Amino acid sequence: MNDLDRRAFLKTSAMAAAAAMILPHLGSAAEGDAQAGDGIRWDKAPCRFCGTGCGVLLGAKDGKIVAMQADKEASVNKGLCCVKGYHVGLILYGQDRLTVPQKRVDGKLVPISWEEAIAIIRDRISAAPAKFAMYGSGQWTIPEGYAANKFVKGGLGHNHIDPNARLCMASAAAGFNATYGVDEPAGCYDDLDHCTVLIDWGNNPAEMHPVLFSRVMDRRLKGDKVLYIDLTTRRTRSSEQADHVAFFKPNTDLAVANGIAHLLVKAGFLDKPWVDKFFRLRQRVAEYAPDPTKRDVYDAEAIHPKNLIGKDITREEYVKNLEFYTPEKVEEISGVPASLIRLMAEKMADPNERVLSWWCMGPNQHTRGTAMNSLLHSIHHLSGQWGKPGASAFSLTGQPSACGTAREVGTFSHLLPGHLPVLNPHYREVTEELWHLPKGRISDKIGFHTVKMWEEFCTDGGAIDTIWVQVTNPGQTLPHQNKLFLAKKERKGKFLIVSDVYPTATTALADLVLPSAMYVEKNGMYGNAERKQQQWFKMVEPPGQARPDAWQVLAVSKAMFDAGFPGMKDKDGEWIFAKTLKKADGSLIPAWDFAHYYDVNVDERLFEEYRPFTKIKHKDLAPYAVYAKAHGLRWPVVEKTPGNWEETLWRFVEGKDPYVKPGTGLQFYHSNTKDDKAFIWWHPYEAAPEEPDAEYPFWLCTGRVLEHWHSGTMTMRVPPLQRSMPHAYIEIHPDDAIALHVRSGDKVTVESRRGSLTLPAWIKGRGQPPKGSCFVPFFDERLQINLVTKDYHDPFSKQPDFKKCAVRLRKA
Amino acid sequence: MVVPSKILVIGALGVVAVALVGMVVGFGHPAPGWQPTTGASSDRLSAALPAVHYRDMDGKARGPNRAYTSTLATLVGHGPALMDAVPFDPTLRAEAVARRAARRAYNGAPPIIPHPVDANDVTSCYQCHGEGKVIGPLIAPKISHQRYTNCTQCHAPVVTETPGGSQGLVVENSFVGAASAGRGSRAYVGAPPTIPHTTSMRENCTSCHGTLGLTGLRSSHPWRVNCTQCHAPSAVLEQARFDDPSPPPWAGETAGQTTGK
Repeated sequence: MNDLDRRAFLKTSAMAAAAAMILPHLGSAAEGDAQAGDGIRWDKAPCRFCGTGCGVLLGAKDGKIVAMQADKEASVNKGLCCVKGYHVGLILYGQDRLTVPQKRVDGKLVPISWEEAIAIIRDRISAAPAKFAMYGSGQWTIPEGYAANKFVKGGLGHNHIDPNARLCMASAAAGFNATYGVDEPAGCYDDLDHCTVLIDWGNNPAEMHPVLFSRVMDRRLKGDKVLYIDLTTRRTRSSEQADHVAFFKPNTDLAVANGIAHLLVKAGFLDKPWVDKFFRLRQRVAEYAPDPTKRDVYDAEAIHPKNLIGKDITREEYVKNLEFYTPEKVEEISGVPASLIRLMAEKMADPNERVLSWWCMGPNQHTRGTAMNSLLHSIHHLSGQWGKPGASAFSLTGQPSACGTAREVGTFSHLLPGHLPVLNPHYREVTEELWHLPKGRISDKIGFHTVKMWEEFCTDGGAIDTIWVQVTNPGQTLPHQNKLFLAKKERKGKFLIVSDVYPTATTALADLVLPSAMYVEKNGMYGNAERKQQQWFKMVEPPGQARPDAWQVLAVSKAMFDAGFPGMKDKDGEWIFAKTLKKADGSLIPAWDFAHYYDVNVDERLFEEYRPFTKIKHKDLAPYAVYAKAHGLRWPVVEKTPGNWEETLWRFVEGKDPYVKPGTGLQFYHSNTKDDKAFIWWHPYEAAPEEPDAEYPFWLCTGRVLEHWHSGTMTMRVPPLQRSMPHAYIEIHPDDAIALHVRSGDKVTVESRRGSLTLPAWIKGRGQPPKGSCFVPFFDERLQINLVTKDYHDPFSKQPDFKKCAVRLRKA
Repeated sequence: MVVPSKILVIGALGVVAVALVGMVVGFGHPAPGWQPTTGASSDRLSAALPAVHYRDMDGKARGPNRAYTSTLATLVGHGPALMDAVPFDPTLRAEAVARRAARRAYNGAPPIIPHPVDANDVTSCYQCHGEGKVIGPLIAPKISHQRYTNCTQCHAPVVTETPGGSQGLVVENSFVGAASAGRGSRAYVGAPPTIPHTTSMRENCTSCHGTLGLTGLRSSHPWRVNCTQCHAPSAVLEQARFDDPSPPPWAGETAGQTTGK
C-alpha cells in the first residue's frame, strides 16, 4: 500500500467511523415482520419547513414518528420531497427539547409551573397593556395566529402584533396590493407545468424551493423545452441548469425590469388590446423619503395609502419614463448583457411562449421591494404573459404559512383577519361585529411593524417593554442584531417572553421561556404560497409539559378575563373566546385548562370562527371538515353544488375564478380604482441606500442553503442535515481571495458599519459570488450574519433589506 | 469492414500510448508523497492548487478522486455474471439489511451519499449511478427510481467537506426510524414471495436485487425482467393511506367523531 492509498484508506475509514458515530442515531430499529404489516399508522401533514407546502405522510408507531413519505396525492409535490422534508419527523426528537416553563432568576433559567408562568404573563400585560407587543410567525398555524390576533387586537385594543413574515413576505404582499388591490398570487404551481420560459429574479430555487424547481426541470427529461434564464447575484446550483445566467449588481433588478418594459413599448405593446381593457398605467404619487435612516419620514409613507396605490399617468409619460432604459443603458447599470434583455423581451413578446417569472427574497428583501414586485407583475401585464396557464408572475414564500397565517389571518400590525386593513373603519366594524366586541374596541392605529417594535423594545423608555415571541427566532433573524436584539441586555425593565421548542438565540435573552408543542404534536393548518390550505391532526404527544401555542394564548386570555381585565370581555361581558368554545347546550368547554384542551378540536372552533372573514375579500375557505379529508385546497374554495367544494387555480381569469363575471375575460374585482382594472406600474431604478465604497468595498448577500431551514433551530438538530452542512461560511471570489491572501478554510472577518463576524472562507464552494461580493448563509446560530446586515427597509412594506449591504473583509 | 478495423487500430494505438506514458511515469523516482498543507479537504476547494514539483508528479492521484485506483486494469470492474448462482445465506442478508439501514434515517428514507460530492455538480451522479458501476472495491448502485434532475435535493452527503472544520451546533437526536418490514410472505413453500416494502421510489428492482445488489439481497434469477409478474406488492404497505384509519378523538365535531368526554 503506497502513501496515497493508505491516506485514502485512512480517510475512508475516518468517514466510516464518523458515519458509525452518527448512524446509531439514524439507524432503524430491529427488522420487523412484513407479513404482519409494519404497524405504522400513517397520517398526512404539510411539510413543516418552507412555503412550498409539500404533502408529507408521517408514520407513527408506539407514540413516536418513525417514518415519512412524500404524499403522492399532494398536487404540490406529487410524491417527491426534498431532503428536509424526508427528515421532517426528526425535528421532534432533538435531545434538548424545552419541556418545562422556565423563568430567569439571577441570570439563570429555572423551572416553574405553567400556572406560575401564565400568572406572570397575565400580570405583566395587565400592568401595561399598551406597552405589550406580540411577535409571531409565518409558522404559526392558522388557528394559532387567529387566536393571537384576536387576543391582541380584540382583547388589548391595540395593534402591536406583527409576524416574522414582515421579514420575508411583506414586500410581496404590498406589491400585490399596489397592483391588484388585493393580496396573493393569481397563478399557482400548475404554471410550472405549462411554462416554456422560466426567469429567476434573484432566487436560487434548486436549493430553496427544490421540489418546485425539479417540477419544472424534470419536464426537460421528458422532452419538454423550457428555456431557463437565471438572473442572479451569484452563481448557484440553479445556475448549473440554466440556459442563460446573468449576474446583476444588487438592487439593479428594477433597471432590468424597466429594460424589458422599454423594449415591449418599442415593439408596440402599449397598443395591444389587453392594455387598455384591463390595465391602467401608474406611477408613485411622490418621491419616497430618499434616506431610509430617517425613520419617521420613511414610516409616514404607509400612512398614505394613496402613495401605495399611486396615480394614473398618460401613455406619453409612461413611454418617456422608460426612454432612459435602453438595453445598453441597463447593461451599464446592472451588468446584465443587453442581448439577454433583448432575448427576455422577445420571449415575452412572443404569444407562442408561456413566460413565467418567479422570485422570492431577492425582490422582497429590498428597499424598493414593493416597487420591484409591482414591476414584475407589470411586465407580464404589458406583454400579455399573464392569465394563461404557464404565463404568470409568481411570488414564492419562505415560510409554511406566511400566506395562510400572516397575510390571510392578518397577523400584521396593519391588518385584521381576512387581510382587511385596520385603517378602514368599515372593516373595524365588521371585525367588532364578528368578534362580538363593543364598538370602538379595535384601534384605528396601525401597530408597530417588526423593526419598529424591536427598536422600541431595545430603547430605554421605548414604547414597548414586553414582547411575547411565538414560533420564531428573532435573536437570529432580525437584521442589525446589535441594535434590534442584543441591546436588550443593557435595557432596564424590559421583559421577553418566548414560546419555543428548543433553546435558541432568542431564549438566550428571554426572561420567561414557555415549552411549545410542535408540528404533529398538535392539530394544525398551514396556507402555502399558492393559496392552498392544508390541515393535519395531532399524531404524537409533545414531550414533558410542552403545550400548543394556541393553548398558551387562550390560557393567558382567560387568566386576564378572570382577573377582570376589561379588554378580555366581549360586549356581553363574556370572555372573548367564550363564543368560540361553547357547546351546543350553551356550556363552556374549559379548553384553557389543558386537561380539557382536546375535549373538542379547538383548531376547528377557531377556524370556523375565522372563516366568515375570508369571504370578505374573496379568499373563501371551505369548512374545516373538508380540509380534514382533502390533500389541500387553493382558495377561493367555493361550494359549487351542495357538499362539493371546488378550489381555484387561477384568479381573475374567466372560467377559472368563480368570482369573475362571464364575458369579461379578465376581471380584477378588487381593483384599487374600482373599475376591475389592475395596474402597469412604472418605478425608477434607484441606487441602494448603502453601496460599497472605499471604506466598505464589498457587497454582502445573505441567504439559505438546501439542508437548513431559516435559523436552523430544527434542521441543525437533524443529524443527516447537520452533518451535510455543519456550519456557516463566507463565499468569496477567487480573485478577491488571492488579494486578501485567503484560502478555503481560512478565517475571514466580515465587517459592516453595524457589526462584524469571523467565519471560514469557502472559495469555489456551493455558490460562487462575482468579484467584489460575498455571501453568507444565516442558518448557523453560532455564526450569525445578522450582526452585520442592515435594518433599512422598504417604505411601504417595512421589510428590511437583508440581501445587500456594504462590508469589508480581512483575513482573521 | 474497413472502418471498424481502422477504429480498432486507433483504439489499440491509444491503449499502447497510454501504457507507454504509464510506464515512463512509473519509472520516475519514488519521491516522498505530496502532503497537503492545510488539511485533506482544502486542496480541492481552494482557488489555487498548491504547485507540485514536476519530480513529484509520479502518477499518483490528486484531487477529489484520488481515493480511486486509477489503473486501467482495475478501474472498472464487473459484478457477478447474470447466470452466476446466488447462494442464500441469512447472515449475508442480515448484513445487507443492516448496511442499508445504516445509510437511512428510516426504512424508505432517501439514503445519504456515503462519499464526498462536488458542491454543485449534481447531475454527474448518473455517470455511475445511472446504470450502476463497479469501481475498484466500490459498487455504485443503480438508482432505484426514475431519473430526476436535482439529485442532492433528496440525497445529502454524509459529511460535507466544508472548509474550516466543523464548528456547528451538534445536538443529539433520539429519533428511531422504522425498520425494514422484513421478508415477504409466501403462499406455500416455493411460491414467489410478495414484495415486503413499498415500491414508491423503488420501482427499479435491479437496483438492490440485480447483480450489483448487496449479496444477501440479490435475486437468484436476475435475468428475469418483469419482477411484478410473479412478486406482488404488499397491500398493507403499499396502500397505507391517511384517510383509512378512524379519525383521532381530537378530530372534532364535524371532522371526525365527536368526543364524548
